[in-house]
Amino acid sequence: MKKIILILALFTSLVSCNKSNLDEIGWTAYEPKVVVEGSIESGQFASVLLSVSAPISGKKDTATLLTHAIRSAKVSVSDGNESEVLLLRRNNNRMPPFEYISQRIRGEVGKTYYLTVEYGGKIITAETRIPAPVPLDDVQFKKSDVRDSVGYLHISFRNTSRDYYLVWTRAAPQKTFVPCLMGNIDGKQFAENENVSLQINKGIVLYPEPDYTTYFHENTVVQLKFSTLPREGYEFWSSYQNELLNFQNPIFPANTSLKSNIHNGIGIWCGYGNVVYRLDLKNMAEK
Amino acid sequence: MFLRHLFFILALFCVAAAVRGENAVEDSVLLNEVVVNRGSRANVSGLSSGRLSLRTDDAKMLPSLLGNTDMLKILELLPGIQTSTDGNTNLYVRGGDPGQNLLLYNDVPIYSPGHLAGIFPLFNADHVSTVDFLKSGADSRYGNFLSSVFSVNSKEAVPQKASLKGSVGLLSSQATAEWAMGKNWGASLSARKTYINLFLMPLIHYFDSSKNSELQGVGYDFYDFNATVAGRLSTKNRLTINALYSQDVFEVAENITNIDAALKWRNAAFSAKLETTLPENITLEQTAFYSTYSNRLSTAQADISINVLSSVEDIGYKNRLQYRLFGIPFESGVQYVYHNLLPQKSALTNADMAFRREAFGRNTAHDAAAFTAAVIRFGSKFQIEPGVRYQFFRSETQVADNFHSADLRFRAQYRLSATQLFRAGYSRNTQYIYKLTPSSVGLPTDFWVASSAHIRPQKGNEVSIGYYRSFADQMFELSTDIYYRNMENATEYNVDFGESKTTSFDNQILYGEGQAYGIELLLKKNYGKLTAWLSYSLGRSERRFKEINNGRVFPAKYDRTHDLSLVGAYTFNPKWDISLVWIYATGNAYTQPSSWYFVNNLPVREYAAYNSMRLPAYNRTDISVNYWFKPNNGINLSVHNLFFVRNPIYVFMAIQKDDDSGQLNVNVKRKALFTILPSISWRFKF
Repeated sequence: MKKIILILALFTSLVSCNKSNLDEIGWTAYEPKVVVEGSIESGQFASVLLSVSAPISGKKDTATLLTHAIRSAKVSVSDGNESEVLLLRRNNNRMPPFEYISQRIRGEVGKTYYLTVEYGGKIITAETRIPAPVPLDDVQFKKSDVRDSVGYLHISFRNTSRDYYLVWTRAAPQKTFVPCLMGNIDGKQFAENENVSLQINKGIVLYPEPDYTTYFHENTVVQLKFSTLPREGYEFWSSYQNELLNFQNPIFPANTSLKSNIHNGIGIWCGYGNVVYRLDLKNMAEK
Repeated sequence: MFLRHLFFILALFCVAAAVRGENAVEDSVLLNEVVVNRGSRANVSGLSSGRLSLRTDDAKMLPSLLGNTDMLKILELLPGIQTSTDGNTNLYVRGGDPGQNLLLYNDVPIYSPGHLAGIFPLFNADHVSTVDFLKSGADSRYGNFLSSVFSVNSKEAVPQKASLKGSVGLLSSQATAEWAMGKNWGASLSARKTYINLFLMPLIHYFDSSKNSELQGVGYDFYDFNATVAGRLSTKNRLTINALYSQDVFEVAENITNIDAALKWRNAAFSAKLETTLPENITLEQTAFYSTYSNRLSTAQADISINVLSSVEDIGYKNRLQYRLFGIPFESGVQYVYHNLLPQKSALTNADMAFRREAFGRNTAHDAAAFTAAVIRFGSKFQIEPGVRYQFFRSETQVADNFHSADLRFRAQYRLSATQLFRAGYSRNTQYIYKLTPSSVGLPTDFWVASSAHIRPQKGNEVSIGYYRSFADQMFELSTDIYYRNMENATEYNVDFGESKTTSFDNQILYGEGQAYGIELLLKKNYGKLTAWLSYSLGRSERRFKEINNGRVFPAKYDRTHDLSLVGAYTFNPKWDISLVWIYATGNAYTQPSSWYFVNNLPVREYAAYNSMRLPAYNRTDISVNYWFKPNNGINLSVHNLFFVRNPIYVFMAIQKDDDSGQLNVNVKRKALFTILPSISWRFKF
């Protein structure tokens, strides 16, 4: 019997020592896809970022990342009557740092805009429209204690749109507008003309400078953008938020790709009806 | 969305608590299993024939971690019951989903998912007598399941004298008192309690008081009670009353996002069983019962608060009459259950605004059934066991709906000799109440739903055949089974395939079809100083959903192609024994990113086909040593996961930026719950 025990122990030791490790986890084949991140905002020029999705392996330095940017596509935007080919320019505040922008066509409320991208023999298309913007009735900066130096923004507005809402902020060191966490709102959750009041959590960014805090510091000037957007935009930004929050969540794992309205590619082409506010939190907090 | 974020934080703390708590408890309990039939000289018992009865008194002769014998985990070492990941309290049988098992405690449905992360067993083994397990060809008296039946029974024998027994472990203790009440009556009362909040958390905080400690603000508490009163009303009437109550509270206060969260869940069951002996050896068993389970998640961050409540409640009566007609033994009965369910009633308020959610509301249902079954013998070698169960289910939500089903059950057995037999079984099963399982790591966020105009009942068929043989005066036993089962209206939940932010859960359930098939093998040594068994299952569990992977077949999450367990115990002398368990199983299926890209200056992932990849194989070895001062009084030393194997419960891709170089690091990270976990416990009986 002792021999049997010894054999069993040796056998299990051998098998157990053959530990699995991270390297043993295989990866599915790399599937490059053309990524579109495009917008046309009320009163603003059309903007489109193009890239190819990157493989899941290895380290990425800036040079490597640049190889995934698409700089040689023909990008055009049309409002149904007028069409324009967008020009490429560098924008170091965005990733990828190249932006196709229009020179003539600016977003107009109520209009539908068609995007066409020609790249690598593929035709990538999408369409969107710009809903009427809705102004905020009030914005407040609230701290749980007067001695605190940080707090949250509270907004209120009248639910007059039958579309969807998205709140963005830009607070130093952020260089671009960032969608707020829980900042996407389905107007149908509320009665028409109902007064809606919400707390806003700051969105997080990685580039150019990482910022993961969800609250606002009182010594900052914040730009707040309140957008109305069509359903495809709301679904995209909702799935984007799900990805950010739950990509490592074992309970509600985010294991589905972002919703997209891009044919032949992935990403978003969305129109926004905007109202932008400048908020000096120091002054707001002192009131 | 925010709710998911909170669950994520809860999950992280749960994992951290379990890992850092260094307790972890249970596992080596598995060794007990060897005892299942130890000493048995019966002819072919058909251990894996689809039916098994496991006695806790035997199981507890072998060691367990922290004094907690987990009977349900022990069953995972047998063929057909898949090895679950660490921390997972769900049971997976022959490719079925966890919500497709019927779990009974003294014949009362139990809906509780168990205690936190499976650290503590659901049932107090000191109060339990046997666990009967049916993985195929179930009796016609059981309904509302597709996969298997776990029937846990407390001790009903009237104690002859007073006694106190229990165990003291690192994280919890338990005690059971038994006493006689006169000549014909007796009672037993059991209680368990953890002292994580009382001792462990203050100790951890003392040694790791940093603000960033993962366990800052974490708390967990649970207790449970079991009570049994049994006795004779008369010579022909015996009454048994059972009660069970448990409550768990898991709390998290998080500094970075300023979130306070509490998850509470509660389970209660009460039953009264009257057994009557009628003339001509007819017996009638009647049971009235009440069972309830609820969980509530409460969270708050500044002016945002979320509350989610789910509950299920059953009030029922069932009977069964055992009698003979023309010399043929029959069993017949009727059952009625009133179900009262509240699935995921949620309230979200933000700055005094109440978000309207499309609530599903309360769902009540009348569930009535009648069954009959017989055992017909043809000579001494061949017998068949036909049965039928008719069930009527009326669901009342916004729109009432009626369902009917007539399920056939059939078993046949042919005995080739005293040491060899063949068995075959078929069963048609229908399930009207089933569980939706958002959590994969053991947090009790599951909820139960009833079939209705919105939710379809699940149906399934299973066939299996088996061959069993014993050798060398029953010292060795070999059993093999082959099975196939299919499922209609199999469900996938929480996969976020559709719009889900403001709609109720029933719009998030996807329906498809499933099938599972496989071969099971068990080789067992029944007695001697060394007792052992080798269990191996080779199987597939597949699903096909129109909305997933373009309608292509994909593996179920707990599809384990290979599942191998080796259990051995050696008794040196009455004072010393040693046990060992080794498990090796194919990794779970999961969904993996295929590429990534930037959106709004943040990396996001593009995912490959659903469940198209596998976690590393599950590999764990436990060892345990007992020293007995005297029978039922000894010290147990156990080591769970002896070889430090990191068995991930999930894998994810993390993209991080190096602030100095600006370089992005794309890493595969995996979360493991338990690595090596030594423990010591003292078991006593006075």
